[in-house]
Amino acid sequence: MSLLRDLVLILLGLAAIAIAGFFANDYWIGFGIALLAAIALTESWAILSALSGYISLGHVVFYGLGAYLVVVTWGVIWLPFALLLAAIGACGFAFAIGLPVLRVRGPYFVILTFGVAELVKYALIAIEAALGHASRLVLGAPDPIVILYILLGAATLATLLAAGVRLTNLGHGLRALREDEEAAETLGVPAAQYKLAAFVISAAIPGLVGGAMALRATYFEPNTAFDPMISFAMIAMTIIGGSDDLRGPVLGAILLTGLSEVLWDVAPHAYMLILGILLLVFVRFLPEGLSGLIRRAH
Amino acid sequence: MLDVRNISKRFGGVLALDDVTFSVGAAEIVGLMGANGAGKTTLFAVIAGNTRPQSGDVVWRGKSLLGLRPDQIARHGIARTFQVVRPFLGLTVMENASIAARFGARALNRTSDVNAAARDALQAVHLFDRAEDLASELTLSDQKRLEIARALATGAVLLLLDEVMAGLTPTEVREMIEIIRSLRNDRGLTLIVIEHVMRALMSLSDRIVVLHLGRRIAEGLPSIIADDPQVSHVYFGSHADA
Repeated sequence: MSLLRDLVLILLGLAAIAIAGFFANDYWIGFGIALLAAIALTESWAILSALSGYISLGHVVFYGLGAYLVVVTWGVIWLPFALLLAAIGACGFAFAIGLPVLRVRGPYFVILTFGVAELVKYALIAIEAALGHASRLVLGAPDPIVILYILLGAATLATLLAAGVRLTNLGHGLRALREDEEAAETLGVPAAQYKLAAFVISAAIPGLVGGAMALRATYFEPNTAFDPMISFAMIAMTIIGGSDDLRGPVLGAILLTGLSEVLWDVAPHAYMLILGILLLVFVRFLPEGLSGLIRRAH
Repeated sequence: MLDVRNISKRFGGVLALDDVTFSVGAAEIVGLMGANGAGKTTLFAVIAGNTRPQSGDVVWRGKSLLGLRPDQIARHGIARTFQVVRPFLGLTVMENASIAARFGARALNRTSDVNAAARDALQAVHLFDRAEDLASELTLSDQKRLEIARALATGAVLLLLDEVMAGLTPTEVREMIEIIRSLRNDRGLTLIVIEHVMRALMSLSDRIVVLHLGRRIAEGLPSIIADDPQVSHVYFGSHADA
């Protein structure tokens, strides 16, 4: 079955990164962190948006909340607990806002999720200002290699979650909702519960990744932690990689992270230009993404 | 088996259903007849939980369905098709039927069970040879049969078929009548059928309920309904009297 084959290949790739981590220099550790974060975020985003068709333009809200939770508990609670808290906190927030947010569909859902992320960002800026912080520093943050392995765990978990959802009735039900919500409901798909479940599941890993990336940055500042570009990247990577299977988000994450890394030195502005062209080409000519391209080649 | 009791449904100022009462027995085929706007589809939407009536009750095997969501009603063994077909266009024919088998009244989990149920449903409507094609590649006639296959794959015992013969050629209509008959004769299913193709409805139904402007104006055997002056008046217009 192609899902299991993709799962095995991705896990083997992650295992290879785990081994390579022992020998990598600082540059490659930095690249590995960016790549693993991208894989974890994109694979999580696809659980909700690629399967159900509810395109979230605000997934950074979970990332930002995770970052905030890890930074404010830094030095207070043990790091693994803090990361767990980041994931659970993101899920809790998704659960709290899920029912009303998921009542709207199509472009309204897209705009609403974007709005929620911006709202939380500015609310947090106000709260932090009232508490007397413009930003928070993380003193004595763990070594980058530790963060690499945290993110390796996050990418592995995200992949397993994404595979698990696709293998169970939840995944099948979400795809039916994407095709026609009313018809799916009439056939017995519990639409509201399934959408909420997908929303909550897809929030967990972004919360964890946000927490890990705040440690990597060694500081927290709402405008950076809730940067809409992080949401856009998840969508762009899924569009370019292909949205309907497990490997698509990974392929997109590899291509765009690689491209950004290569161009960062030479021509930093060219990255956005090329990204724009790539998106146009993929949306117009290759809506099934790199993954669809591979499928057709076989 | 199904009791529709004094159902009234108002959309704004329009009374789509006005105190409609009828019942359906096990393994019965009941034809629902009426001109456009008579409230037939609205009645299906009420039974399937897609819309809530202002008053009245729908009782299924002794329990009220009122207030249940469509997915809960599907799990109770009732499945409707849509007049304007709504297949999952981006999925294959087999996937369409499989999803119905995974949810609905059967709520199957094991892939082998799901595939068997989906296969059985597709075979019942003569669509299994298209199993691997995308639903979007099917003709209208095939999409109508896919609607029935999905309803069937849920494991429903009551099927609500909404104009599954509209737009079909006479040959396709004959095939469809055979399919629907076999659902009752071979599987013991209960059916309520909305149809504008009069001859088809007359030959298929054990009993016919006629709606006009939301009211039930007649009910009885097809032969009696065909001769009812009130029915021919509202259905065929005043020319029938002249």
